Amino acid sequence: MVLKRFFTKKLKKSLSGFKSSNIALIGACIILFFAVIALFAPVIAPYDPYETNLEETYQAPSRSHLFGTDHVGRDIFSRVIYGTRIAFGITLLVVAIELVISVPLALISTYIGGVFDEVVMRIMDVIISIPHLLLAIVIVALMGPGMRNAIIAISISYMPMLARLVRSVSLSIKEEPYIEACHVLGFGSPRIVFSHILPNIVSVIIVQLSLDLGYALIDMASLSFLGLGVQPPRASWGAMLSLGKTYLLHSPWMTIFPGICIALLVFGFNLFGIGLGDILNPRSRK
Amino acid sequence: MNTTLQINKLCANFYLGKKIIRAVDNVDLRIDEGETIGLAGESGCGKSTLARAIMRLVPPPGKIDSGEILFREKDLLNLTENELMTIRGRDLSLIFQDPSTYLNPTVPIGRQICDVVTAHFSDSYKEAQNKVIKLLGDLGIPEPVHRFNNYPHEMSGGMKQRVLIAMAVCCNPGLIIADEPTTALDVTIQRQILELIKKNVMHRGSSLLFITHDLSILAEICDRIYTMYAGRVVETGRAKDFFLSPLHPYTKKLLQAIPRHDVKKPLVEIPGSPPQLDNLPQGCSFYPRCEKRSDICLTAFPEPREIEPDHWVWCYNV
Amino acid sequence: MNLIIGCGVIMSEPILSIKNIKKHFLHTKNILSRIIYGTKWVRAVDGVTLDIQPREVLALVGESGCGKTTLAKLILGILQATSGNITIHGKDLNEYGKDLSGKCQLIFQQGRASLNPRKTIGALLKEAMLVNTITSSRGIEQAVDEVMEMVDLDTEFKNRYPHELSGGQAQRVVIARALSLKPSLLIADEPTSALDVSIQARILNLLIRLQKNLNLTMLYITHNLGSVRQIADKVAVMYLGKIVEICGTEEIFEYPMHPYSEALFAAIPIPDPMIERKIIVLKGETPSPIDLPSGCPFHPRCLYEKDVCRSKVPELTQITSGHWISCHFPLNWSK
Repeated sequence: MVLKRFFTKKLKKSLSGFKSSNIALIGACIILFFAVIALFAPVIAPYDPYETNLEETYQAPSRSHLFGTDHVGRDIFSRVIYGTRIAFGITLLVVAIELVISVPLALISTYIGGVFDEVVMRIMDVIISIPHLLLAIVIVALMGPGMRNAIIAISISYMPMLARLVRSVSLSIKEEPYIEACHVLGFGSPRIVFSHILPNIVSVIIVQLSLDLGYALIDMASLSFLGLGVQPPRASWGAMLSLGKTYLLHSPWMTIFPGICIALLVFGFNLFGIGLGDILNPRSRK
Repeated sequence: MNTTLQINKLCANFYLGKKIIRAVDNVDLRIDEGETIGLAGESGCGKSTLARAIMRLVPPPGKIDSGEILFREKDLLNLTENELMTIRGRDLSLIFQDPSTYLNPTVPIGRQICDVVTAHFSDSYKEAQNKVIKLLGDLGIPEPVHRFNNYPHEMSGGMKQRVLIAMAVCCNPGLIIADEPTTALDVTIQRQILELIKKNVMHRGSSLLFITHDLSILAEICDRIYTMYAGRVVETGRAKDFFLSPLHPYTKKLLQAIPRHDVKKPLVEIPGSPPQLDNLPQGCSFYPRCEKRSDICLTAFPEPREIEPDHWVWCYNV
Repeated sequence: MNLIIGCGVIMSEPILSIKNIKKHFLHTKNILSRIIYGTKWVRAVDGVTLDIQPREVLALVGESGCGKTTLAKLILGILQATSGNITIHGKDLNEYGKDLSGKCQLIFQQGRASLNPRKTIGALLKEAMLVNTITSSRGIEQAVDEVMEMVDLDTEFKNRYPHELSGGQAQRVVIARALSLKPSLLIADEPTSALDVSIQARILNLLIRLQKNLNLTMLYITHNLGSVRQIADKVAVMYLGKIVEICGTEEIFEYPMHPYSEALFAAIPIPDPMIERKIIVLKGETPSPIDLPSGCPFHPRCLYEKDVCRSKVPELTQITSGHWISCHFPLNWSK
């Protein structure tokens, strides 16, 4: 309802704003590039990523295998392409969970204040004080390895940062004259929080989420690298790195290509997030 | 009578991307020795930029593009930065509007004033300190010896403004520019500061350029007054002539718009909206809001005409 | 002299009635400062009593820190009083709940800053009216148009955002929004202080016109004393959380009886170089509301203070019909 209308308006404004930031444009292009690959993976990938071929193991990049093959003869190019799907799927899920839980929690907590606010914030402080990769490792270790648990673990470790950000921004907005005006006009708390405070912090949230996409990818790849995330034989870039490290000296292509993809996509997310910050903030600061 | 300050055809513009904002547009101004001159106008008319231009402190993207600023016969626009540094604070000083933001919060106020003295004179710190303590007393700060060591946040608005005034007068400058010095203060404190300025600033022999949007204040202290609109001077005259028989339609309306507590009279509005400085009309910039307007006003900005002695107006229809 | 509360001979019931309202804020908030400094209170509003009759405009004047904005917030229910009570239309403030917004509205000082920068003018006006069920969603467009016309705003501004409006236009939106709820009492808190002189006159004239046409009851809070004479029927002067004088407008400017009122009005500069001015310069500065002076709060700065002023707090008393004063030695008594 209000949210839907609001998002379409925001989208239109953002699209026009892209003209002003080259950084955002480049970032968006990179992301779009990978997104298209993810979408059309079955069409683009020449081979089945799980199909092994023991006669063509450790092959260097060639015309038939653009990125070479791994230790069991699987085509790395196809695996990298399918890895794009996992990369996107995971990062988007992490960010979605973060968004859905942290933002309302922080907003409500700020608005109610008092003991509830104190308790929630202290819990967040505890979580934030643990380095988040470590926290994710601990959670996965407790819950068991696997993609689902890795996603949950990373989301939990990211929640406090977003919550604190939302909280600090909404605290400053709470004091603004137009919020006081809402009280005088007889608006109820839910309306003030969601219809007045939230739109003014959306730009901050969007920027943070864009950056978090990049961080989530790195953390996910790290977990997979450690064997705690995506499990083989699934083709995730992190798992491929983990696998490839043993053969680094004679088959470096097993690690180089997934590595480049991770770096490139994270770069794309970062550029997009930073550029978005440039677009959304100075304009709204009139 | 010596002339302390003579400004001729000064132009200062702000360059914002494609837009050029003519903040000060061909302004002439004269201040004689010992005179108190008022400069009146609303926000955006260019009076603050003019004050900064005289000190050659116009911040970028602003720039002084042409004209002369003759301070005691020397053109300030031709001096080097080093030469200007010896003049600023010593012969030419500025009292700012908001004392809270123009005082260093980490340095005691006495020290801040002493720094001005020791920067321009060869006094030792102790000699400067004694001078400053006496000055603080003259300016009505109680317990000056004790207050010398106060930090700005330990003082009220009125006290801080006195500190700024102290910094401006401590070197007995030839010209003091006061940029809205009482706007941020309460009415009774404003009265205190105005009386202070009358006693301690005006009668020391310095000239004073008092800039404000509150014309009522100027009626009390000024010898002559200038009005500015959209970067240009539109009228200037001696205080009595200016207030009792204003000539320019803008000045007239501005005076009538001031609500008076001593008489009951209806408030006169000025139609239209304040000018947009990057999009000024051709000719006289007051044209859209003027009740005396005519076709000739659109041709070019009017030349000054002296209607009575020392009373000049920039208008075709007077 | 006895304390007489209520406005004497007037027959109708006052719209707003404030009885001995106090608002004290705790200054020493944590235990450590309480041990060191003792419990200190900021006495922002320290016993205010006043009434506003229907269709009356009462100007509340005073300098910064006197408590006038705090008083406005108490009337609007934004702050809870420490003691005393406020009634609107005879009903206690606390009994109103959400309905208060329909009875009592505020024109903010900050103008544009009191409008959500992310919403269009039309959206802001619609929301205010819909939430307060002034009109159904069918009649809303017309209602918005009507209220914008009332404040001389072109209806094409409906799709603009606050930052696209000038100061004067934004202030008119604020006025429109407040009036669209058809309040019984309108509080205007420094409605023109953020505007240029040429625009101030326009907004003030608009308020005067609206007050007459809509028979509004208004509490006009300002430090711009000149504007008071044009718009207000009565003036209440406030100092350090207390009312020191209440009187009809004409009377108070000609014959102020409280030394503070006298100094306040004498301090205003007049745009006429030939007029003879009575210069009154008060000693010192306004004390902090944390450490109020003993006796009469004004005595340290008063030019006429005597011994009794230092020890005994003067009560707000009716000295002549419609003229209340809180002073042991009122000026101009024999007029």
